[in-house]
Amino acid sequence: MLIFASEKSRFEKRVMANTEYITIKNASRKVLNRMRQIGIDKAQRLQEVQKRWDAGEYKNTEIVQL
Amino acid sequence: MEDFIRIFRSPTGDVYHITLSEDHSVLSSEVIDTLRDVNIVGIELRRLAGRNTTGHEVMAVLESTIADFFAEHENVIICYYCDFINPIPHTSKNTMPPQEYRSRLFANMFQRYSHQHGITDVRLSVVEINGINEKYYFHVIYRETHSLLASMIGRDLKEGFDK
Repeated sequence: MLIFASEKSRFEKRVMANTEYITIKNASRKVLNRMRQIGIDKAQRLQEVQKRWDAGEYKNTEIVQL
Repeated sequence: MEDFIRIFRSPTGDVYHITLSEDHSVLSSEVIDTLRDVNIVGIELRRLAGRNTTGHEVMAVLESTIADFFAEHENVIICYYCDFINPIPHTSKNTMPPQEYRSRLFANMFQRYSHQHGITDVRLSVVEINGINEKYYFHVIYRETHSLLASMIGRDLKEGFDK
């Protein structure tokens, strides 16, 4: 993500092998609120999966035994 | 694009549910318009039953499940959010936050799988977004041929939500 490389004041970039680490510092309140909301939305979707499992809705779905 | 769903039961009886599905919800309309035939796929993983430590066997199956899906879908960029709400079993208090733990774990899984299978043309970008007292993590897995799009996604995560 070369776009971050020139913005050294707020962004740090490290590259290790095939992995690139980008840190966005001092993100705005708006960005942080959005990030938090994405997490809450994801948790709710995962909770719905749990409810379906608990209600037996996956009983006809193949479960791979490891 | 159809959702890809798998459910696994570990030898210790723990049950894991993984979904890979098209997810453009974190991107701005400008980036979505640029994607054309490339799909952004999110990963959602949940333990449905059990509280045993997740062993290497389960990790390896999860890695290969995601890798096989990625290999079978050439026009896919995987973009997932490391969630912070569900706690990590077997971690004591005062250690790193769950989202940071997940970010490190998933990055290690990616690196290990890539190394073991000699994969050199797939990359991972770990985007850490910091506030004063909070951190969030996005991971973007992409082929080198999609580097420009991955850059756009990264920029979108940084700037898109500020608009």
